Amino acid sequence: MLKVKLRDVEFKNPIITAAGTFGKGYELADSFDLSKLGGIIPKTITLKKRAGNPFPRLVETPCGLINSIGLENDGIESFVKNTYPVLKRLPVKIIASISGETIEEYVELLKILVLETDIEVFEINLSCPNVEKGGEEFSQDVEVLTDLLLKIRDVTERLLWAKLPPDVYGIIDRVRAVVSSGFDAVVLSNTYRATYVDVDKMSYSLAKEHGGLSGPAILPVSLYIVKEVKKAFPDFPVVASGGVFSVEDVVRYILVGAHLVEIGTMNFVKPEKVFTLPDELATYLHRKKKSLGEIRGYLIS
Amino acid sequence: MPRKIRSERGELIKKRIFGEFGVFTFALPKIAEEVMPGQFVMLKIKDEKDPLLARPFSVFYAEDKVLELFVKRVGRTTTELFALNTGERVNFLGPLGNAFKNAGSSVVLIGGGSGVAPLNFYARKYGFGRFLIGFPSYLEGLFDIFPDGVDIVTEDGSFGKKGYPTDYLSGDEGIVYACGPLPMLRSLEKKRSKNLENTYVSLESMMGCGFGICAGCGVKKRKEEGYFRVCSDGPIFSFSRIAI
Repeated sequence: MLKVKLRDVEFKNPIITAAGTFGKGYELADSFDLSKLGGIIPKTITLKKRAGNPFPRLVETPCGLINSIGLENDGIESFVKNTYPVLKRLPVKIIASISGETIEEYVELLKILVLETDIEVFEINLSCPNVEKGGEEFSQDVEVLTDLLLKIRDVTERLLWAKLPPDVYGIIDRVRAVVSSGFDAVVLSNTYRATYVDVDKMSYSLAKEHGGLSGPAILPVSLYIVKEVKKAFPDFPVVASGGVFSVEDVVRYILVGAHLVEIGTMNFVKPEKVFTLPDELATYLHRKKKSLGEIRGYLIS
Repeated sequence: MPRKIRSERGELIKKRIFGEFGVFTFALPKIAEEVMPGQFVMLKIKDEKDPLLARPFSVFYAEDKVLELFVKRVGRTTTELFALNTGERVNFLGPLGNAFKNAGSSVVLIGGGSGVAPLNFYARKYGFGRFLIGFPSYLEGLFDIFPDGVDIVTEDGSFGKKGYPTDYLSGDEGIVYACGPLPMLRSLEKKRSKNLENTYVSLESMMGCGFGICAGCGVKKRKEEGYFRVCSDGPIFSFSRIAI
């Protein structure tokens, strides 16, 4: 009843944990039932190991959290050798998020993952606000973005999602690039560039001055972006992400057309909650006497 | 590797306030039964979006389905905690982090301010050779909450020994377990420079999650590049492995 199909890949339900908010993917495997979820996205993988940014990397803001983690991860070699064998045994669909500093790095990462793993879905992270090279910068120029997306699409037939930075003004052109490159979905959106200041210390709250804002504070803006994109591309699947803290928030994104919904910052605060969202969504649908397909995009058409 | 954590509602059954410090006793059956000395819990007072994050607290004592926190009032969450009435319920996640290894009753425990919490749990569960605690000043009733034989040090000398707890270490002790403010840990590092291997510290850090999924907390590795995660690699580290 909650199943979602994107091309030939079936998701048990629309609830997925967002990259960077669920560790390597297995940390909570002994504490909660991962099979409840539609999928999990382990922390973004890069070609080389990254130590991440200096501390402090986090600052809490009203109803939000700014992070400048900087894609800390052990690199692709360790992912394939150490992390993936553990993830493979988990009773949940794995979606791999990757980020490169160059187009060639993205292509190489994806080639390795296609060759060494059975992962069916890849989220191309084009939106990390916390790295010096790559990440967000590829989304700035639509031509560069299109070139990158086409080269990535050439690597594999498996499902590809492009995760874009949030933008309330120029998002349509970027999503058009994603659609025309033959990608299977767009993920909207990553965190918002943000900063905060500690008035006692008279300094920036983060060692890197700024980072990406997440949490309930961003939900209305990310919801607006999903709505605008779905109005422009009603048939193109959107994976929504940003500030979900309840089943009502999940429904909000589905009503404006999202196929899948990623849950991020909430996992830090209430790690148990994401596992109850699918049942809560089923209860909502039952109460409304509607199917998931009937409420998806209800406000768009 | 994964540890089992749980989310559990705890009811405040007793609160004792000593100036800016307080001991809060919660009925928290499951976590209280599982938690070991040195481990911590994440506490969220209100199920609201602001403040958003839960806050980490080392456990002061746990026994018979009851868990105690020893807290200094510093910010929003601790202020909300001090204002809590008995009978009210709050949300806990736990048990989190690693625990002090049971090194028997000859170990030297040294704590400053709210950092005495995890050491008190060790002292009461396993015993101690010496247990030094440091506070700025005398506070009525405060020192009665610690086990017999505790060595009290106050900065102003208003009670017990005068100065800082690290003043009363020779540096040649066997195993030392410590927790406290940064200046105390720095002075401990100097005192124990020949014995860092056997000096274990429990670190405090701002945390996003408390169980290793956000990558928001870290302490520099001493011998190589990179960071340990304070919440899931620690909070307890041998001083020989970290640089503060």
